[in-house]
Amino acid sequence: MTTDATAALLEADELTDVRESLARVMADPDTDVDASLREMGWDEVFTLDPAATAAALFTAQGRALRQSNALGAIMLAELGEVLPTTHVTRVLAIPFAGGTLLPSIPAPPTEVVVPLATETGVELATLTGIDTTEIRGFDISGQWFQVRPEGAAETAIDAGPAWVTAVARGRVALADEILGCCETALTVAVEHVSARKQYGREIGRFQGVRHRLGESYAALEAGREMVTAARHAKTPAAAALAKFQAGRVQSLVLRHTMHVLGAMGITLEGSMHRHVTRAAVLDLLLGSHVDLANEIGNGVLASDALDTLIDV
Amino acid sequence: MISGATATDYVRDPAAYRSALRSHLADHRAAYDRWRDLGAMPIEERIVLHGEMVHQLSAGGWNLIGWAEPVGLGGDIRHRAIFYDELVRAGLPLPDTGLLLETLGPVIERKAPELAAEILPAFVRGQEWWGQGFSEAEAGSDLAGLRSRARLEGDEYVVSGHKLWTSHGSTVNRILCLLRTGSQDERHRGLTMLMIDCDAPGVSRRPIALASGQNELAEFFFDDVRVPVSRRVGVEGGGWGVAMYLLQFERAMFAWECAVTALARLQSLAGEIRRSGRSHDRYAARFAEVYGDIITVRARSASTINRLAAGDTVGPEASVDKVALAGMEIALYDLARDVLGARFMLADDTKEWRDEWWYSRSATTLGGSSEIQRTILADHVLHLPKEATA
Repeated sequence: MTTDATAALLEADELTDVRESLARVMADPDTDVDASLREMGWDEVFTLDPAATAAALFTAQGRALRQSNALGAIMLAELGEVLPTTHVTRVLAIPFAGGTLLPSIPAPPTEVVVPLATETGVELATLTGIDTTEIRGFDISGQWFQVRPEGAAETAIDAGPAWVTAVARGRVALADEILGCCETALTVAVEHVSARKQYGREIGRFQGVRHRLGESYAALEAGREMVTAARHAKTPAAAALAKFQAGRVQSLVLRHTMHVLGAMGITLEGSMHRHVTRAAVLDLLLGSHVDLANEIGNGVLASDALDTLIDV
Repeated sequence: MISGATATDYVRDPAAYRSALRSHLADHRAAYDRWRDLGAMPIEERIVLHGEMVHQLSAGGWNLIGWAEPVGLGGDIRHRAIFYDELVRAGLPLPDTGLLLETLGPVIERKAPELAAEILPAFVRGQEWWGQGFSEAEAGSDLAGLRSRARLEGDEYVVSGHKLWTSHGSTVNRILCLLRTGSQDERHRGLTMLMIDCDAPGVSRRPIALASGQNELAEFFFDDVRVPVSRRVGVEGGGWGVAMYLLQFERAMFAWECAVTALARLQSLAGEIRRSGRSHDRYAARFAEVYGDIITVRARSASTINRLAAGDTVGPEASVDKVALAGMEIALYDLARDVLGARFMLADDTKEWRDEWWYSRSATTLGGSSEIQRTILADHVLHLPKEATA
């Protein structure tokens, strides 16, 4: 996989085909997303138009609440110059403030690349065979594995500036996935308030409910525009801001969509909790909105000339 | 003055226009110094100064790019977005006259081209500016209930009534009014848009000061004012459609302009904290949020601007822009108030921040309240069941 800037870009109708294929991949909850992506020739599709196809993939994955190692794959594509070539399945453990997580364990033979923060940057350790612990925390309907990096430091190599590019790509992808997850949550909420009756009428006729969902939609669409702009801007700063905004959007949207479902919003048999917990874990990866707030805010406070990031 | 051939290049290539304007403002920095760091001053004086700055820029042709002939030298709304960006980048104010220019200019260009050829060039060149006469005492959010009337007599309309909450109202030269030409029961179908000169016999006005003391607004009284039919914008009975067309530009370019100013003000606020030597940590997250809000408004309005430049129309989705804009304004000036603390309340040199804080409170009401925007999204985008009415 490469992300050659001169690669041919897909036409609108080709992109529509990609979106439809991805929706099919995500639709069946019993299939393995990584295997289905291999089957559809994802690596090649991605190479044709990395930015647009990644947006399609992660939006679809977010909408369907599915999981795969695709995030690591698009980040590894940026690290091709740094890592030695391999003949086995290679996955990237995605860092968060307290360690690294893998969304899926591939069949062996495999190697896991584990990023390790150093004082000056990031080193990448490659582990063969995977020692993981399954995490059962907030996102109980998902699966996440924490990688134990014991002994990893000895094999580590400096990731250099490629890591910054990889993180930027990953952050935009996560922002897309978070917004996809919010989008279906909003659809669930709209369907619920259009059907559920109290006082003899649908609760979606009450202004308090309508305004929560109108506000959610506004936040979601404004956030989507920020992510799209970051995709075009292709800068680490724009990607960080897009991820930050997506994290804020999930906090606002899911608070409202959960609320309008009443008690159903917080039960295990309802579906809303799955959106809430998935978006929360996705927010955590590569810097949560809480952590990014400090990083971005201190940058703003130190700057003599704030970056406009977006032009017409 | 930009030559015809150069203008053609700039029209074709907005990026070339941007870099030429940036060089011009850098190379002639001193020529614009009198408009830097104006600080707090009465809005009536400030808008006159801003008009002079716009006029000087138009003498070089810079802001004539972005307006089609015969008003300007060609180009479109993207060039104007760049113009405002580069002014503020060079430490100059975003001209007050530019706010209403961007809402009213495109509308009369499209709906009354002959009138535009006659009066819009002076507005573009900073020699005059206009206001908007839509709201009335009994018609705020419920605009279609307005009662000020225009009655056709020969080739003139005779206008009588009262308009309220006109921005820049104490200094505007003309006012675009939405008036009832049909019956009251016709609601939004019986309305017509007229451009009225403020010095016409029968027009009187009273400035309205905000709690800051600034005369940001005014009310207008019309006592049998005679307005030529040639001053009608759109067709008789088509005033509502003109107002809706206008709102697209308000959502797009007005929002862009506000975001341009907001970024400069956030920068200035960051400078306040640095100079005070206080710790950044307690404010960092809020600075990040406001910065995120501002860049999101930029992203959203840039996209809307590009759609308008491509000839698309913007529907109920534009309410997203308005909600984002209002959130940005409120968050920025609340942050300023909190960061400045006692100085905001007491110091002489923070008057500009106080003025802006008061004006920012209008962000959730002017041009359609936040409630109206959420209702539009609930009705026309999310298609929720209709609201229960009394």
